[in-house]
Amino acid sequence: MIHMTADSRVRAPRRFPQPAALRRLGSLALALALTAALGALHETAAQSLSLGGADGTFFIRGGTVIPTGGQRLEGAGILIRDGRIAAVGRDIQAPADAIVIDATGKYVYPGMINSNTGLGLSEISAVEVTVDLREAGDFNPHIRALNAVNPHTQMIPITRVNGVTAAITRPTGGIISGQAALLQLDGWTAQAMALRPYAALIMNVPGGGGRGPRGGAARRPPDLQEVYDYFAAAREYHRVRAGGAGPVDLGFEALGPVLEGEVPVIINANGREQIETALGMAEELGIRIVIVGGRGSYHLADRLAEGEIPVILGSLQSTVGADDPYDAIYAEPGVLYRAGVKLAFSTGDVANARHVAHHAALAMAYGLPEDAALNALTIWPAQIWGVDGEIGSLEVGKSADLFVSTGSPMDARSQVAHVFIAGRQIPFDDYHTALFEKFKTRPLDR
Amino acid sequence: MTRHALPAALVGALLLATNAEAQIQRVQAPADGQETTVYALTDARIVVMPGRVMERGTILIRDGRIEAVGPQVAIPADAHRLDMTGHTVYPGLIDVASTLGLPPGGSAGAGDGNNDDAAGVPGLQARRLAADVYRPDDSALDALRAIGVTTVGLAFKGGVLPGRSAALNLGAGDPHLQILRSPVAVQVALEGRRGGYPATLMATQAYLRQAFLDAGHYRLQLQAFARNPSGGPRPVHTAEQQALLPAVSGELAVWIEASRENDLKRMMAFAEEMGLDYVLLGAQEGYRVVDELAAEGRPVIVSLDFPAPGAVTGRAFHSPVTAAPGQAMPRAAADSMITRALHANPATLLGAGIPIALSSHGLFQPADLMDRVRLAMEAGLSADDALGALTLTPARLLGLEAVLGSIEAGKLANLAVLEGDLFAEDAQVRHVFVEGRRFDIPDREPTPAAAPGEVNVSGNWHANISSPMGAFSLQIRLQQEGNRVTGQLTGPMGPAPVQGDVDGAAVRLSSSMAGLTLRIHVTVDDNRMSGTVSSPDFDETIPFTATRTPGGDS
Amino acid sequence: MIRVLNGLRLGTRLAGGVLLPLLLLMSQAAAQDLAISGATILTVTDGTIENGTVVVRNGKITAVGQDVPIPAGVPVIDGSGRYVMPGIVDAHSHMAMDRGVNEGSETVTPELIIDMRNDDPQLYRALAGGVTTIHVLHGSANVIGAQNAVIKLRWGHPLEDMYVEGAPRGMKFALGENPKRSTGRYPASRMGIEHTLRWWFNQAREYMKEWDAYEAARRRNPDLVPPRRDLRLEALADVLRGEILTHVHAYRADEMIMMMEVADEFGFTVATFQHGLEGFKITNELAAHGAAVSAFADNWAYKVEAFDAIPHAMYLMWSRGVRVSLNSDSGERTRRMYQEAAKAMKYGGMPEDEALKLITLYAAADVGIDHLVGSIEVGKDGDFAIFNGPPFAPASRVEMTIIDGRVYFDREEAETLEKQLARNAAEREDDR
Repeated sequence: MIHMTADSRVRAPRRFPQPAALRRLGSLALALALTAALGALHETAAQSLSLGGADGTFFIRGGTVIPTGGQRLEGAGILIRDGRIAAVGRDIQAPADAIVIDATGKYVYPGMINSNTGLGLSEISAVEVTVDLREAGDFNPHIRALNAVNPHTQMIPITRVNGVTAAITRPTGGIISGQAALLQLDGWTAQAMALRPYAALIMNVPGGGGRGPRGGAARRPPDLQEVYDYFAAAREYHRVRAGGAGPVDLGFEALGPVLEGEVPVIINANGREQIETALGMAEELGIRIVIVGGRGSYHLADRLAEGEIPVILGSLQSTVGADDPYDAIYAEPGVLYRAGVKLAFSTGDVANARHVAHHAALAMAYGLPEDAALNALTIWPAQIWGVDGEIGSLEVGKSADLFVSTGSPMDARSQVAHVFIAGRQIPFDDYHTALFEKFKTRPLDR
Repeated sequence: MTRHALPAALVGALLLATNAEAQIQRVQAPADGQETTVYALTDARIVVMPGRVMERGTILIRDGRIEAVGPQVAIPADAHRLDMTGHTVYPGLIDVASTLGLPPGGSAGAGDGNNDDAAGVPGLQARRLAADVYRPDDSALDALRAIGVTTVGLAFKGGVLPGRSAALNLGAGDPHLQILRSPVAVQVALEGRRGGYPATLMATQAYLRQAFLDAGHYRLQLQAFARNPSGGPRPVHTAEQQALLPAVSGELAVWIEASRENDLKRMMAFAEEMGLDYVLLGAQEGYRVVDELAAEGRPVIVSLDFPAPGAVTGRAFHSPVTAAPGQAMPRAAADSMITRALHANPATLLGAGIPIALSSHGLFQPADLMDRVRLAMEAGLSADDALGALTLTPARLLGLEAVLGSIEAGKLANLAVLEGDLFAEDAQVRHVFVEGRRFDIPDREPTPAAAPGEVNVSGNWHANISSPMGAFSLQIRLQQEGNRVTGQLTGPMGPAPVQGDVDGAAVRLSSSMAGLTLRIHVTVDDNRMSGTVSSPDFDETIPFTATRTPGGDS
Repeated sequence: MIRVLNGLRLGTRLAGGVLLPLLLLMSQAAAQDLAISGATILTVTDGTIENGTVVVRNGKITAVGQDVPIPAGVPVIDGSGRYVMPGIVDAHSHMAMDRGVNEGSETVTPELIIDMRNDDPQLYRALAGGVTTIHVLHGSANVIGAQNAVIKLRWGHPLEDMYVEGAPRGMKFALGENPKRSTGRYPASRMGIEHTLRWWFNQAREYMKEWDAYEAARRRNPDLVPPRRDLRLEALADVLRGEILTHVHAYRADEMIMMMEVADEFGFTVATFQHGLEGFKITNELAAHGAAVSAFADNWAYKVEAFDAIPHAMYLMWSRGVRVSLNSDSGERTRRMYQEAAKAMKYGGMPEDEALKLITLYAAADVGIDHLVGSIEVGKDGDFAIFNGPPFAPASRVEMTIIDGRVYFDREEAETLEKQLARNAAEREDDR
């Protein structure tokens, strides 16, 4: 279980009274987890309904532990108790009550964070009714991703069994799209999954990536001045409200933590012009920003480093610009890294949010060191989202979000063997594994 | 009838219809009885045909025809005598493929008044005759005559089977009386339809293949029916198959619009497969397939609607970011090289022994033709070859070489009378004769004098230009006298002369650098000029600003 | 000839004129002599050779092994520290199609032969990802699309030089959501798609009968007018005669079974199902019919019929006797096919050599050119992708791509972001 930390904005899970049925399911999960301890859980799972993670005390032994990029503990153990990492090191022993998982010949990594997804907000992108990514209107700071997340989407189990244990999920569109949440990818409700219900405000550069409402009539998109005017009005609103006057405005209320600098603004910006505009917006509005997308940000690497503005890299599986060298997208992360920009990887999508590390692999092939690639999937995004006290590396006291794998997550060959989120062992009973298990058993003669 | 040479019989029989369906022959004297029909142009310098110049001679015109030409021609009493001392008479120019007064060839052609069901689907209308749908525009005719053009081939642009081309004299009066020949050729192009089959390039080719096969099948049916009317199936006559029939039987040429390298190759193979007597129309990238074209030995109609270098096949091989091995070069150099090659296209084809006719086909303003001819000449086309490509070869392609293309007795009196050289930038066409009818060409519009003292751009200027070809700076030295501006412009490719004029605060400059024409249109505000620079060679207009640099030479 | 090249003639006739000096560069014979020495060679069909040498003469592999002499005069590429795999074959692409991917105006358009261009910059970027051959298909808007093209990425050469000589004809079919989606057009359901197929193949049968009757009657009456040639039915007749490989865009298991039944009814075999996302559910049926599947590694959930796609499908189908290849269907994914193939090892645990075949030998087999390309074997084309590490390892990238023994991509020569930034920095230095 996640405990309250010094940072009170990290949300403690709510405890709901558990109906008997849920309790039964919980014990089934525990039984399955015990099977997993014998190393056979994902061999037997054939459920299409993914179970929740199983609580317990676990001891992962014999593996090579990578606590964070650049560190390496061979033949080390990790003790997971009460949802937290209770011990990491070579000389620790399994307590008697621990379920022991043998990771000999395998590697233990911190769980990965995908810093830009629509997880829980979209199931089948071509089927509109299953998509809740975009609201009508241009200025929607009051729109909250969290309360529209379907915690039982098929996407989440599929994502986490690949070692991705946390993700930003966010709305899109307009100028201010709404509030993004940072989720741990296990929990009975979206609220229980939220590490940060309001991790960031999503914005688009006027005239840039932001699109109007679906099917909306063509109209002039707001320009930069309107954005500035909106923020000015919000500041004025808060000044007036501080004096106890005026009616409540939900949008301006939602901007409060942004104006206070408590919540960063993610600005979708690609290309030199948009990124320069985003930097200008940060300065003009006095807000803390994170660039997402960032295509072409190598032009401005020094400015971004100097301003300590992190960049969430958009999908590296993208088409290169007509006048760009063939490797511009793959080589960009390395350039940013060497300039000192804090990076995080993302996929920008839902269905393949699981493969965020493969984007990092492309960056590695074209100049990003392996340690940096791993950090940009773990501790750096944790820092960007202000949860590095909680997740992002394997340290005693942190939430036990980790996975055991046959190799580096950047290596597309690596097989993930075990995943823990908040100390709960995650069953390998996702939709894909279940279909695999089912059709593996089809007799060859009927 | 040979496949390659234009059918001489057709030409000889200009006044004798050979095809009841559509050989329209309307060559006759101007109907205007108020005007003399007999002229004697005396003491003229006569360019009889490319390479044959008579330094002083007389041309006698009667009833629309050249009755006599020579140094010593007896002038009859009824002749209206024109003293041509100091003038040069050229054969009237022929723009062999002009879209003058025609609706578009493809889907956009709906609404030309000829799209009832019987007319077929726009773009799939081999039955359509350019001669029928031609609608004259007096100002366009004036503009063409003002550059010495007296005859055009009316050719659709676009579509798949857009119709059949015609030859039109640029006379006055009832346009249909000016048609010299129709149809000249069945036209074929590769522009897919919107909203129906064939929409894509692959489908246009499949459609064409099927259409010509069907016409061939129709021909077989006709032949079998003629052999034995009492047996076998009766042929089914459709308008399209009837229109294509003379093409598949080799009696009518097929003009195939293709300009890109791969389209030229595709359509050569297609025409060979179908056994067509064909002429390629467009051939802007002909220089990239010159060997194949030379092997065919057919005349080619070359459009002077030069494409932008970026759109030319193979441009990406030279790009710094996608270079083919050994082919990388700086962007500006590659574009400049391609532009030169495009301008040199006519000379390159001729150099390989391919007869060419130059055309305005596709140009927004057909009257820009001569500007483009001059660019082709700067790139190596000789004056004689240019003249041939605007007279004899097009006359041959239109099936009219017996009556057009040179100044010889018996031919139609289609003449251009100039002061100065036909291809000079300041050429002044004084008169044209179209089938003996005289048109006097007004002086070119004099440039209005600038209000004295409004602006003076004399001095040195510095401009930074950020273009799609990269950023570069220009040094400009200007000298203004009255409203005329001359000077020099120095850029990355070295110096080039610049000239232009001042009108109020507006300054228009033009220059030719490395084969590219630059047009700078700016307004001047004291020591700053701002506006645009553009080039007819590119589809680009780039912002332009320059500031006056103090002192002497920069 | 026309059939394969869609109107382009074979042969290397090159342009001259003002571009002569440049074109001379291109006129060097496409096929060349070349050797790569001291490299780790992933032959794909015969294991991995450490410190190996491969020799190419006149475009064909003449020797592979550890102790292979390099004939005098053959240029040698030092392969030490490098990994050489066969040039990647992308089994489904729409790159470089000239003015049109889908002829959506009608439902059945087999008379079409797709048109290519030789200067689509995507081809260069695919080369930089080690791709040497692509299978280019009509889109999936039509139940029966167009005839395909199989080209090598001989970047810088005239179009007619790009085609793979000896590649059989192929034709695109499409089932499911895409062809039924077009409004106002029959078919509007999977049921209608089946009927459309059967109706047209029946027409083609009748057409064949008509011609057979004519050929028989012509012997008695030479003046007989032949039947009208119908290019659409002629192409379908060629399918029925087994002269055209059928590549069928399909997602769901049911529609694949339907297609195999139709093929059985009309006496031809489905060559490949393109994508075949649910192929893992019907491996028995696919294997019995003899159809292969050209798959995506992990594309899924973008539409309803893609919801049951699983990344283990490659492994499941392969392990149960169905030949599988991977394709990109994209100018982006084609740049990293090696990463896609590696996922077959992750999901299910396909052996490395087999995973490599997904993007080489098996892809070549899909289009009937596995006798020419797809593995490093004596007699095959000298097509290679050279990596700086194991192709499936995360930090590996393509250093060089070779076709017919000729280098078409060399990272050292290529423009890269690093080079561009270094130049920019140097220019800024100069400005100071």
